[in-house]
Amino acid sequence: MASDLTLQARPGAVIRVTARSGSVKVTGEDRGDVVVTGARDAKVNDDGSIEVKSRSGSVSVRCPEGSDVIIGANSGGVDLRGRLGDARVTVGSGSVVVEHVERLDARTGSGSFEIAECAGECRLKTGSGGIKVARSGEADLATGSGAVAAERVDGAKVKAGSGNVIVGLAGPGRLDVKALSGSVTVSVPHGTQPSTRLKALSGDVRCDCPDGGEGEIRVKTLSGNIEVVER
Amino acid sequence: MSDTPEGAVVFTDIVGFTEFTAEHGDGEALALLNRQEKVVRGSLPDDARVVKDLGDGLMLWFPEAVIALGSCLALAERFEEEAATDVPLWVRVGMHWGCPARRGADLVGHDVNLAARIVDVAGPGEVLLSEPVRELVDGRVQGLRLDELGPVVMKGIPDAVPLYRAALD
Repeated sequence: MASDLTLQARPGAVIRVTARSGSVKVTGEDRGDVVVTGARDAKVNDDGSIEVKSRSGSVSVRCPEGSDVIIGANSGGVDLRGRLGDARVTVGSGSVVVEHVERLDARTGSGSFEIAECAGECRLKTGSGGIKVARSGEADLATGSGAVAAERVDGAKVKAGSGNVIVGLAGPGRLDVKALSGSVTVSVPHGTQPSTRLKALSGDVRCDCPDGGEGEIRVKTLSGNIEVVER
Repeated sequence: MSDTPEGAVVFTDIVGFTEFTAEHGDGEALALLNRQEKVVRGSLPDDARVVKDLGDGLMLWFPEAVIALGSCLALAERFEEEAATDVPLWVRVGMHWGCPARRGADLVGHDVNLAARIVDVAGPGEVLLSEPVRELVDGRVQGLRLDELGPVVMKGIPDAVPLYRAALD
């Protein structure tokens, strides 16, 4: 059974986790120390940052709420629970699940993203895998193959190779979607009058909103339909 | 085999190329590759070269780091301009600085392998670079912003590698 290792964290300490294989779970909770389970090595660096290394198996880190985390993993999922600060996550192959972060840069070679809330900028890149975002600030989303569903974002840039794209704008933001093959659906709040540039090289285009200057929606898909709807 | 002087090994890669080819056929895929190569060859400084064609990407060599980064950022901008048209030239770029071995016109070795892994981490439109490149360019390119991605664990590379995303403000 893996034993716990408790480290005293300075306020605002960055948590760095590297895992060669196996899953990583980091939980931001109401506590002042950092508790690590399942790691080969864990220490406090001279600059106050916490460094956790794991070679195989699952590693779990419980840390103060709002901690910034930097995670590098080769194969295995990454799970960020509770409330965390800025998060940077890179995974060779594996999915990333996030409950709440302030800002996020996450990328995986193959694997999906499921983000409940990112208060600020949200940058997600996957070679193949779906992207789901429930709520974020400005989003920059890219997938080689896989569907994109961003329920409420302040604005977004989206590139999708194959797979449908659904984006809900929270208000009059800027949206730029480029899709190789797949339909694109954009929803805006009722009564919004965005400026639109919609182009489907082979597919139908439908826009329910009157043209105006409340934000800008640009969508281009090489094959697939485009819809802009009110909600 | 012989060692080359130190230099920047750069890989470019078209994101979504397999999906694009499946959907639009070999003819359009070939046109996309030609477009990439034309943009790259048109942007390379005299002392840089295309080492080889990798199917949906290119391997490049630059003898100087600041010029290499400037060229890569300019390339990224050119690709974005191309992507704004009907050509989905979604290209990502990875850079590493090292001393690979020469095998004829080709370059091989750990530094080449690492550069190839770096481009795999990049998203379309991004330029990522390793710590040795950062040490050579930081503070020497006006308006350069380097965002740390953190230690990245890569298949076949023993230690986690710090990577940075380069962009101009």
